[in-house]
Amino acid sequence: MISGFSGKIAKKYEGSAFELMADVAMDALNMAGLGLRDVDGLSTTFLPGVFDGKTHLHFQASQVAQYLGIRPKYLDLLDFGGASALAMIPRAINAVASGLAENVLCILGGKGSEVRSKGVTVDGYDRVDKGVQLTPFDRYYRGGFDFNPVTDYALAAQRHAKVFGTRDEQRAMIAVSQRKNSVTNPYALYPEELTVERVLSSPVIAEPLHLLEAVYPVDGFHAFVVSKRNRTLNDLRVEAYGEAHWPEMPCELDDLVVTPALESSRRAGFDPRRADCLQLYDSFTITVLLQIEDVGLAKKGQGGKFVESTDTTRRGELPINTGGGSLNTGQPAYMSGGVLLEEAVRQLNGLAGDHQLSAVKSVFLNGIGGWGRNHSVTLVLGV
Amino acid sequence: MRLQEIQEHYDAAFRRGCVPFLACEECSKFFFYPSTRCRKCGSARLDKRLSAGEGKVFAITRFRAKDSGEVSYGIVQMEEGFRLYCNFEEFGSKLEVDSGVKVRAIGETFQLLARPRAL
Ligand SMILES: [Zn+2]
Repeated sequence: MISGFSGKIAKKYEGSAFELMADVAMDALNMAGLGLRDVDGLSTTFLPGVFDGKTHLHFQASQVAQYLGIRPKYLDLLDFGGASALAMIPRAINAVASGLAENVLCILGGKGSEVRSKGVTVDGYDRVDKGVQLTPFDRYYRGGFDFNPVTDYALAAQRHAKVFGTRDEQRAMIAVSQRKNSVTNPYALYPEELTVERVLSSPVIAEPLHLLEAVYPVDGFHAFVVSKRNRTLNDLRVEAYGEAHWPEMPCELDDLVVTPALESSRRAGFDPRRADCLQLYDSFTITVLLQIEDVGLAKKGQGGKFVESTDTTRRGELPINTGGGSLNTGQPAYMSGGVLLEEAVRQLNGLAGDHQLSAVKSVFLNGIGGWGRNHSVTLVLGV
Repeated sequence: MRLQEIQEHYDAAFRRGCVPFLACEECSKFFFYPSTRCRKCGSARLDKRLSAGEGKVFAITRFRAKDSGEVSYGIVQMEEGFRLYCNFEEFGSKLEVDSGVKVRAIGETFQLLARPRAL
């Protein structure tokens, strides 16, 4: 199954996104003992601005193939934002199993710095390019300030606090635990330990969220090779899988305190407590909190109590985001899925270095994507 | 009904400072973000309506914008039963979830603004 992988992250990468993408792809293929000529499947993803500031790459998947000199038999472009990485794997496995391809190269990432320099996020790209549309009715929706991932998740955090009494301190504990996990991760941006007080004394970016509760957009790529024959890594299998896509405007949902992870995890039907660790999408602390409830670790509304009473560090009873997550590595191209998947594959192969857990047999992953938490993918990988 | 007809109703409402919405005549679903099909039952039998503008804060956040100082933004639960995103004008008194607000539309910019109901 996964025969090679690679990830590279930089606060600001000085070259083109294509260069970094090619380097990461080659590293993953090298690990697999494969060359570009062996690649006959390609799967990738795109968000506006992350390829060298271009709003749109015309036939993006073809351009990636063209740059690498690949002529795939199987070509795919996924559009689930941060959840794309996890959705690529079972699709690639199906492609291999059904004989469509032998080696599928899955590539995700780009340059967050290009978007950051324009003073927007990918979900606000319509502010810098009028050719971008977020909804079929932007005219009646984008008149005012300012829906973006920060305000969107701020509203979710506020509803969670209002409906369930969740406290800022409880969300902050998620950032503190993940920082404990990241101190031995060589990819982490921040070496210093964190306390609840430090999180809560960082600037408020949108009430009630603080700066240290949010990911920092960075440059980076991840590549994973899914192969028919795997010579190098442990043979992983998909133990459970589910996805859910809720296209509604968040305000049109019954409430903001649930995500499609409720449905994708139910589809997967795997008790997350049976996994040796979890990788939960961590664009914000509240994102992790919502998934703790939605994947079934805690009853809805009890996520705050759960993080208070459960040690989620890698030495604890239920390790979550064992490498510190993207809250600590930075979020490459506004999508954290590659960070989650790389950490899971490392743990399952005993390649996590100083933050390796012992005897990891299964990892429960959940990815969230889309600008209104529209997509969720639950993936359980086992060895 | 054609989308253009709905848009004309919306644009005219915004110009008058009113909040438009659509009501499904099949299933009685009310919604603000326009479509030619009811998003609950798929019916094209939609009635173009105007809201009284009264509602309650459903969610609210505040942040500092580069040019405009502190901005309040969030969701209002309208009395007719649909929700929309808007900005808040707080006039010094902080709005909270469930505070009563009156929403008005601003024609040229298609902005929706909610202010405390007492004002
Ligand atoms: Zn209907």
